[in-house]
Order: sequence, then structure tokens, then C-alpha cells
Amino acid sequence: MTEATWEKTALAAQRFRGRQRSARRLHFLLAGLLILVASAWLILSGTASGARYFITVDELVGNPQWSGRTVRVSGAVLGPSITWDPDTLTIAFTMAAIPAQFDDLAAALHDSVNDPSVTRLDVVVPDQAKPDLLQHEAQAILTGRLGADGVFTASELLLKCPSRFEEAVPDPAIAGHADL
Amino acid sequence: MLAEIGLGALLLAFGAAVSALLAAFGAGLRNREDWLRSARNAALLTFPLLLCSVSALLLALLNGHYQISYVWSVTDPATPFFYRFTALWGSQQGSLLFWSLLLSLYCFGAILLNWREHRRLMPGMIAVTMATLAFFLALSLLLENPFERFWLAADGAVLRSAFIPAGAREPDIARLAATASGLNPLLRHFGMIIHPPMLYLGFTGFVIPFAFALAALASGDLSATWIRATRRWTLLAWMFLGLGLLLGGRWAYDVLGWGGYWGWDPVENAALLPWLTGTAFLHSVLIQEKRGMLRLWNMLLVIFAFSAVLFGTFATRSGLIESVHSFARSDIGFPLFAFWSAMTLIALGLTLWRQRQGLLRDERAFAGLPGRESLFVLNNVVFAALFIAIFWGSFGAPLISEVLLDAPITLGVDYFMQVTPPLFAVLFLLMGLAPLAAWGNSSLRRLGMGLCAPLLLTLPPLALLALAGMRTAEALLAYGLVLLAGMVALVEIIRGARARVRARGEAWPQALRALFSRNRGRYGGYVVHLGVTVIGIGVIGSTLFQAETQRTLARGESLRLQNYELRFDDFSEALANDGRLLRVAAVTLSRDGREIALLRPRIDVFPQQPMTIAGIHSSAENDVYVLLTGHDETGARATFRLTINPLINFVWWGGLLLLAGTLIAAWPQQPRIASQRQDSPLQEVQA
Repeated sequence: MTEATWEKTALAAQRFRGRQRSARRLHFLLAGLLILVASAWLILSGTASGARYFITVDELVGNPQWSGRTVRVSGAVLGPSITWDPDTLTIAFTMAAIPAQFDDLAAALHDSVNDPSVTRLDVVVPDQAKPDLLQHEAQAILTGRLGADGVFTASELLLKCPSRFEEAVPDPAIAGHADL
Repeated sequence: MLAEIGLGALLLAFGAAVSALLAAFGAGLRNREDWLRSARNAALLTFPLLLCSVSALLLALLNGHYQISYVWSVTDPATPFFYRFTALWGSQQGSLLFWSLLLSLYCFGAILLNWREHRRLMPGMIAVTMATLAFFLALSLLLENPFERFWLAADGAVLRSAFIPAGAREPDIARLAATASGLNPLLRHFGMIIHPPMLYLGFTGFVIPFAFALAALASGDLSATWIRATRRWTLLAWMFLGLGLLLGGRWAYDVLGWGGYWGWDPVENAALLPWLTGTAFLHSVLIQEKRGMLRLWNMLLVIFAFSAVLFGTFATRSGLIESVHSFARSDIGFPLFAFWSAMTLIALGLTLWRQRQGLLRDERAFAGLPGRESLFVLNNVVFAALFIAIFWGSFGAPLISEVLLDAPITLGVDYFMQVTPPLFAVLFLLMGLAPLAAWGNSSLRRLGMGLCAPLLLTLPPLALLALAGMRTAEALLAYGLVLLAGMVALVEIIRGARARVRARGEAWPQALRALFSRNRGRYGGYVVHLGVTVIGIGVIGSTLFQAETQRTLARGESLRLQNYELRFDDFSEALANDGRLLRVAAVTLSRDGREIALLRPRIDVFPQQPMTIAGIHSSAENDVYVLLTGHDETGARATFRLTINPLINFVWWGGLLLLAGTLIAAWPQQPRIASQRQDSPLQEVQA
């Protein structure tokens, strides 16, 4: 009788510990699941609100669906068009369309600024100091909106760093001294 | 001559790597000891050969051998000695060769240090490291050869070739020197002598854990052996990568002239991904060591850490990603992509095979919350979520949308600032809780008791920050979590030392020294936690409370921001020795009407491009960061951007703590005397 009671108690204690362990594992799984679900939600909502369509100047100018929407657009800077007002800190310049795909960026930029037939876009960047890299034939990557007046107002201006300039022109530089 | 020596050594290193790979593979298949020794010798030889090759290139850079096209493209006669040295990694070819040298250095060290203890894993380890090295050397030889030279053909055309073309002759060196490009101005910074080597040491270091993991999978020896062989190498790579990231941030802060240090640039993120994976591994590997759990997960983390390194290398060096940090568009993109895919698939295939055989099965089941291993696993889940979120934002969304949508999408800083802070907050919370929980069955009561002292210690600095003006709800929450995590680490160190003081009557310095030397991994880890806390304080302050204004001023005029005033005093121009034109503004910085600093923000005009160099007044409280962003022709009017970065220096100081903690944790443990007790001081006292 005593033995049976002891066995019953031990069994009950074992069951209790088992239930407790199961509950702890369940809590652990739920916590992990919660982190995963919250992360997925963060990623999806962040993507929905932070996505910027990257389009070409031709697509922006030629398709009214992009007008008024925040987009990213890339083009070649026309150096002589660059103005900067030090009092209002406003940059303005004209950008020439570059192809969506190219093999040589330097060549694509050079061809675009020298071809009067490519689409051009007037750009205004308010409240912006003049960046070091805003030069003729630089690649500008802008985030902003195209206004009804056809001027693109950028809230963000990125310029392709010509850091690899050393690789762009080694041979012609020496070839210029062909009398060596 | 230097080009011939460098190229010859490079060719020999490639040959040695291939022969080591083949011999190691054969030794593994046939169980031949003599082949394994042969593989070891060939693998060891790659390091001195590559050292010879890199030395040749370095000498060429230092001595201006402009016929070598790499030297011509990254230096010119005006380049100072210091930057001639850093030019070694200033462009694709040189940095790729340097990368291979570091890879061979790791192989050299790993073979010498692990040869006796982990002989069974050696065939696989040597085969994997040599396959990787041979691949990178092949890139250097075939596609990005740093020893190519300029030649003049008979018709006057300029040719670039490693060997002299038929009928060609050497160009005039003086003319070559006159047309040399010079180093990219953005790379002319003292940080560039240390930032890339640190980053590369971090990247290449992950090859050793990966190689040991694959060796364990191939040999079937999936006991704790490979983990023992791997952990210290991971720690080393992780430390270098962390340092590289911090130094990169400092470089960006000093050189790029935008007042920040982390821009969520894809290339920055590509370096962060293996660091995150490595951090997760360093935590979860403890569970495998202590409890025999997470064996499959640890294997996957090591594989993904190196896979992330290869992917980051591909993204940075292929021209796929436009970034201030990336290299030019290059032909090495496809081979790198193929190599990354192949290595990742092989590793995952082997893992799946061994998993099906039951060799990666855990020894015990999880006890559940709030056991320490469960908290560690949750910490790993957050790391994995961060990895996915950052990968998606940097590469996934842009690449997938390019394939599936008419207009590809990009995700900028907004996305990262929305997604990552909550995940980092949970990470800090778990960082605070996990050290307090016991292995296996723990209790909420134990956690609650353990939290009392850290919570009390968190309140004074939190109040101090609130008094300093950082009172928004999100700032207080963020600071609360970060400080709590740090205080837990601090309390654990104090608790351990106090236990020794009480039990053994040791003085506090002696107790602390003994504590750290007896359990370097644990207490070094706490110092790392303290470092991360200090970094967190800096990141939160400089992100949430950064203030900025900009204006054009005439001489004598001022602009105000908070309680600071900036007065434009003077403008001058000067020519530096290296040919730069320096345009320097003299400004006076005042605080509450009292002058505190004279600063000289300037624009360095290089022949290729101008560079904005900030004038910075630094203190523990903040950095006042002044940029000269423009001026008129006479210098009578100039435009300044004034930025206040609160607590930003905590980021760099935390980096030093992180370094110290990692060194403590990675330092070899002194062998214990048999009579010494094995348990921790806390346990000693509790017992």
C-alpha cells in the first residue's frame, strides 16, 4: 500500500516535471517564433515603405506614371550647367540620360554628355552643400520626385566616386607620348 | 627585374597551392601519410613565396617602377612614402595579391599550430584552404595580374602584358612617371594603412574555421575536435573584421565629409554580414562545447560565415554594387560568383549528407526557457534575422527586383533604420539576460535576482543621460537595454572577483588577474560585452541626437547650433608638398559665449578631385564637426556645415575595449596544475 502510494506520488511528480519541461519548451518555441514573425513583419514593412524604384531618365520623362512618385534616377552630369547658390544652398544642374546597361561607365557618361540627342533632365537639390564629386561627366544618382514643371527635385544626391580613375585611362595617357 | 621576381614567385605559389591541394586530397582518400606531409610542405611554401611576390610589388611601389601598370595606376612621383606603402591595397590587383598573402599566412599558422593535435582533419583542412588560395592566385595570374607592364609596340601602340610582346620595347620611364595617375585621394588617410589589412585579415581568417568544418564533414569526425580547432581562429578573424569595420567607419568619418561613420552602404553591409554570423557562432559554439547541442546549427554558421565572406568579396570586387568602397567593374565577377556558389553548395551538400547519417544529431534536448542555452539560441535567431534583413536590403531586394520587375528597387538608409534597431534592442536584452541564466533548467526567480544589481547600476548613468537632454522614450529605452547588458557583464566580473577575495583572501587586483587568467573565454567575453555596450552608447547618441545646420558666412559672421557658435575668421590657400592645393578656413568655435577651439576645416584640391577635410573639436561629450563646403573666388564668403555628434567617441573607445576583450578571450589558456580545482571561483564560494 505504502509502496503503491509512493509510486503514485513519484509518477505524479514525474508527470509534473514533464509538463513543466513541455511548457518551458513551448515558451521557448513561442519566443523564437515571435522573433521570427516580428522580423518578417519588419522586413516586409520596411521594404514596402523604403523601396525606391530605380529608373532611367528616359523612363522618368517618358512615362507619366512616375511623375510625383519618389524614385531613384541616374544620369551623367553636364558640368557647365552646374550652379550653386550659397545663400539658399541650392544646387541646380542638368543631367543627361545614360543607358540602363553599359560595360564601361566612363565611356557611357562621356557619350551621354556629348550627345545632344539624349534626353536631358533639369535637377534641383535644395539645402545641399556642393559635393566634391559634382563634376562634369560624374554619374549622379538622385532620389526625389519629378514635378509638373519637368524639374526633378532631389532629396538625396549620390555621386559615383571616380575612385577607379586610375584604371580608366592608362593606355591613352602613354599613347599620347608615342614619340617615346 | 622586380616584376619578374614577383611574377615568378606568384606562379610558384600557385603551383605549390595546386600540388598541396592534390596531395591533400589524395592523402585523405588513400590515407597516405607521406602524401599528407608532401601537402603540408607545399602548403607551407605558399606563404614565403607570396611574401616574396608581395615584397617585389611593394619595392616596385616604393621605388617608382612605373613600367609596372599597377604602380603607374596607383602612385606618381609626388606620392609620399607612406601612401606608396598603402598603395599596395589601393586597387584591385594589389589588394587581391595582398588578400592571397594573408590567406596563405592563415594556412601557414593553422597548419603549424594544429598539425599534431588535429592530424585527422589536416587533409581536408589543407585541401580546402589550398583550393581557395589556388582560386585567388589564378585570378591574380589570369585576370588581375599586378605585374603586367607597359610596352611600346613597333607601331607605337601601348601594350600591357606580363611578358614582353614580340617586337615591343620598354617605354621611357621618365615619361611614364610624368603621366602616372597617383593614389586615389580618398585613400590618402592614415587609417588606410591599417583599415584594409584588418578587414582582409578578418575576411580571410574565416577560411580556417570553414576548412576545419569541411574537413570534419569529409572525415566524419564530427566530435568536438573540429570545434576546438575552430573557435580560436574564428575569434581571431572576428576580432580583425570588427576592427576593420570600426576603422572603416573612422575613415569614412574623417575622409568622406558627411559627418557620419556608417551609411548602410552595400559594401559596408557585406563586411558586417560575416561578422554577425561569426558573433552568432561564437555564442552558439559554447552550447555545443558545454551541452553537446546545436551541432548542425554551428556547422551551418561556419559555412555561412565564409560564404558571406566570398559573397562580399564578389559584391565588392565585381563591380556589381555601386559604392564608394567598391573596386572597379572587373572580369573577376563571374569566377568569384561561381566559386562562391560551388563552395557553398559543396559545404551544404556535405552537411546534409552527414545530417542524414545522424552524425550531427544533438546529444540532449533543450530544457526550454529561461535556460542559458535557450537564450543563446534566441540570440542566434536574432542574429539570423539581422543577417537576412541586411542581406535582403543590400542585395536581395535589388537583385531579385532587377530580375522580376520592370524597374529595380533599392532600399536605402530608411529601410535599415526601420528594420535593424528593434532587432538590435532584442539582442541587447538577450545579451543582458543570458549570462544570468544557468545552463539547463533555470528559473525566472534566478534571473530576477540576478537582474537586481545590474538594474540598480543602470539607473545612475541613465539618469545622467536623461539630464544631458537625451530624454525621448526611444532613447531611454535603447540606453536602458544597452546599459543593462553592460552592467550585467560588469557585475559578473565583480561577482567573480569578490568570490575570490572572500574565499581566498586575495587582494582585488590579484583576484581580478586570477579570474581573467583562469577563465579567459568567459571574462574576455564580458569585456567584449562591455565594449559593445560602450559602442552602443555612442551609436545611439550620435544617431538619435545628431544636430546639423549649414550656412554661407562672410568673414566675421557667425552661425549658431544649440549652445555652440561658429565664427568665420579667415580664408587662405597654400600648396602642399605632394601637389595638393589647400583651401583652408580659419574658424573660431565658442560654447555659451566662451571660445573653446580654433579649427581649420579645409578643402584639399587634388588634380583628380577635391576632398573635404573636417575640422573637429572632440570631447567625451560630443564631436563638433565643421566642414568647409564651399567658398567664393576671393574667400570672402564661405559655406560651412556644422554638425554636433553627441557621444560619438564612445564608438571608438568601445572598439578598443572590444579589442582588449577579444585578445583576453583568444589568449591561450595557461595549463592548469593538476592539484588546482577546476570549478569557477563563484562555484568555489557557493560550494
